[in-house]
Amino acid sequence: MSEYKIVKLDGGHAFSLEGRAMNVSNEPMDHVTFIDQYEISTADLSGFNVMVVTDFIDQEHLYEHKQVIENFLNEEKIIIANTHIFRPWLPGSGLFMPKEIKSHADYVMEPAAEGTFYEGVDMMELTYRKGVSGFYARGSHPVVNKESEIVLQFTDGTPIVFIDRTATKGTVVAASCRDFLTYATGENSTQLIAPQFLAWLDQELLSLKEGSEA
Amino acid sequence: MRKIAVLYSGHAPHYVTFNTPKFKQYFEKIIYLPRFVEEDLEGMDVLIVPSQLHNKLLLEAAPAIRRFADNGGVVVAFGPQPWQWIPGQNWETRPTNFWWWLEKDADSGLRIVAPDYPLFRDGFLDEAGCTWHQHGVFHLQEGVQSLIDMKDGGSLLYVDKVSSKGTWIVTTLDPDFHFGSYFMPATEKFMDGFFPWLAFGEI
Repeated sequence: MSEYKIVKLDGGHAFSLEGRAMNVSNEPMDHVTFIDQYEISTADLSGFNVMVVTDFIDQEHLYEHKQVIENFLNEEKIIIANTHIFRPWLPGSGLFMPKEIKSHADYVMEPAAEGTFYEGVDMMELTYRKGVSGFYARGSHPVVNKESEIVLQFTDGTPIVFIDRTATKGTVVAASCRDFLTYATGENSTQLIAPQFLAWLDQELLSLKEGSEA
Repeated sequence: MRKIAVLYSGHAPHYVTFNTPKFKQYFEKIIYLPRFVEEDLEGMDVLIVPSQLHNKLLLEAAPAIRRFADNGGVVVAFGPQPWQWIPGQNWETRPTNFWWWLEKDADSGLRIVAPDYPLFRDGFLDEAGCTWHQHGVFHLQEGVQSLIDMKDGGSLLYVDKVSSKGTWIVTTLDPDFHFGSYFMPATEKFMDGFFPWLAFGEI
């Protein structure tokens, strides 16, 4: 049985209709509870152990309520940020820097290690969509803590996805790429990302639990 | 130069687009939507309502936006409009073809139908600067002028000088989102022409 109980902030924008929150696959997310972004400071978050923040979320509001984020993390929970961060509301992550591009090949990515949730994903299928480069990621967040684990990077080594377990008691996934949870369908290897990421969440929650009991 | 205000949602694409110096220079005010009050529009000539705003906040602001137009202001609306708030709004969502230019004999379907309108006549924009993809179309009431149509029906950009004392410029195009997301270079060309037109051109 899954450990994760995911809450996803909803930007209330045109692309989020039907709770899809810019879902690439337009598949419903039955395993995710959506709350309006402006309810973050008043909603009861105690029933959730994972929070997902994506594009179209008001980061001025998040920054004003960064204590909510910090409290959530200090309860040994996980925050996933799949967006370009421009206010310092997320512990462990720097602010977004766009990639300097001289050629479309500059958007090519690689996993930074074996056995991550990108296992089996063809990086060319992830980098290019219908021949267009850079659909998945166009920049990075500087790593604040050197202990952070880099998961995905551009081939020049700048990080796209990293995991920080040192800034708080919880786990931060800082990702300047598209929403992991939307990569569940499709006709190529990128559909592996969502199920492998969900499995990783279970494992990470278990580690957080074991860590707190140790 | 007209005084232009823009509503700002606090999300990343808007932050980038409205703070990029070559665009920011045209904005007298960047108004953070959750703190928007009607007095913010006093002394403004133009209000830009960008795409992808929070639905509840947009609908709360809508009566003030309509009053601004009723008092002679110019209101510009970008992007898909699934919520009814624009006078005479008749929006149809259509599937988006993000990759039409990769098809054989590619045609975006977009047609400039008022080449003599000052936006085009005076060299602010051409068809290439308006061409990326669309999320739907508007069906127009009588007296409203379409500037850009889709070949299979509906308007992509229109000017309404009849529903208020002012002017509504409404387009399904969403350059504010794409530029701020580091996508679609044509959207930058659009704003390179469109904002100077709002500031100095004949509307």
